Amino acid sequence: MIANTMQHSQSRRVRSAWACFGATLFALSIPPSAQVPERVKLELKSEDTLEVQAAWEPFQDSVYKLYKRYEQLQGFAPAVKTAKHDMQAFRAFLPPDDVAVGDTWRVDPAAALPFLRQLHSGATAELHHGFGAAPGGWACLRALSPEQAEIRLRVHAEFVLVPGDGRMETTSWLTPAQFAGTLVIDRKLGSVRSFQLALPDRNTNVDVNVPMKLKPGETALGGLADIGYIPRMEVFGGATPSGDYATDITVPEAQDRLAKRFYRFASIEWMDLPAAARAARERKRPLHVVLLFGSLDDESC
Amino acid sequence: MVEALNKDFVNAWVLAKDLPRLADASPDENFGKLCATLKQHYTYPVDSIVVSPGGEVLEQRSVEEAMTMQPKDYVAFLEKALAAFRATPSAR
Repeated sequence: MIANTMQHSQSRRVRSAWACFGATLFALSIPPSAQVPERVKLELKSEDTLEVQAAWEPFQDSVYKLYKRYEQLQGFAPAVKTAKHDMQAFRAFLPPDDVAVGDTWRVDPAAALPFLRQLHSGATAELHHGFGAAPGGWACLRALSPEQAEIRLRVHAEFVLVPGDGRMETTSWLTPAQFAGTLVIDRKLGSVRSFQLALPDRNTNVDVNVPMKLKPGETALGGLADIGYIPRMEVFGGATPSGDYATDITVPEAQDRLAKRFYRFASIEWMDLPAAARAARERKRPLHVVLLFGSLDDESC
Repeated sequence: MVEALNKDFVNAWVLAKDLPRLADASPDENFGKLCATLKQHYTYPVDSIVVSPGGEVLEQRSVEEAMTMQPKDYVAFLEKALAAFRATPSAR
């Protein structure tokens, strides 16, 4: 019981720590997107539909191994393996105005829910962590040619695995780090060539909260928290598009622009620790290290 | 603050649980010592630690302090670490 309470308490401390980094330690303004000359209106006028498949693999690891003890964290499988979506479902990801390559725009994260509910019916755009969480969705036009356009997406959403009354004592949540997506549009046909929303493959990429299992006579004092690794969780459809574009930015550059929309501290030049240790010696600079229980730059904490 | 971090420091974030794995994967003995030092000073759940290029801990802040910290306090933390660094032989 003491250990359980500590886990819950620690989870709150982790979340509060994230809030600190976002709200106080790294306060700064967000730079405007780079300006490029060609601006286009992206449209999906076709009445086609796109078949989207869902895939979801079980936990492979977690800090406290809660997935081995809680049924709601086992046997993950898509709720709807295959579904057809019309173009209206994808229009919600398009920019409201003309855009140029590199531009970003806000996306209603609810636009992702029809797809994420193929994974689990409890998909929601409201993050239960509240203060310290970074809800929402953003998109970036990564590449453009007269024939097609590639949009990169980042959506923060989670799954209510067991609906309770919204309290830690009764409700189970699974909070993925993020859903990173790609939407490729056929500009001539006004249809979607391919679509994907996926949990990035990272060794810590989901957060879970479950109620404590109580023995007779015990009173719940919160829930349990854990962070872990799920190797695959995605929805995808369409054909592999051509990679030929007249204008583009790199995938890491697009991902970086999206990250900066969610987290102000993403403007800091972070390196992995081995590279940073080498750079500190070469540049004769002090090494500023943030040590964490869960990842800094996503929602899996 | 971000400008100062990018100009005067090298920045890294790392999961505390990954420190042993990173140390084991590196043939660099100094890097192994750095990982051991960081793990030794980690207090959970989030710590900011500034070390010299040689691995000497210059300043440390735990989340308990950060939760009540204003941006100016973190700037002061970084300035204190930078001053400590400039007093070390490795800064010259």
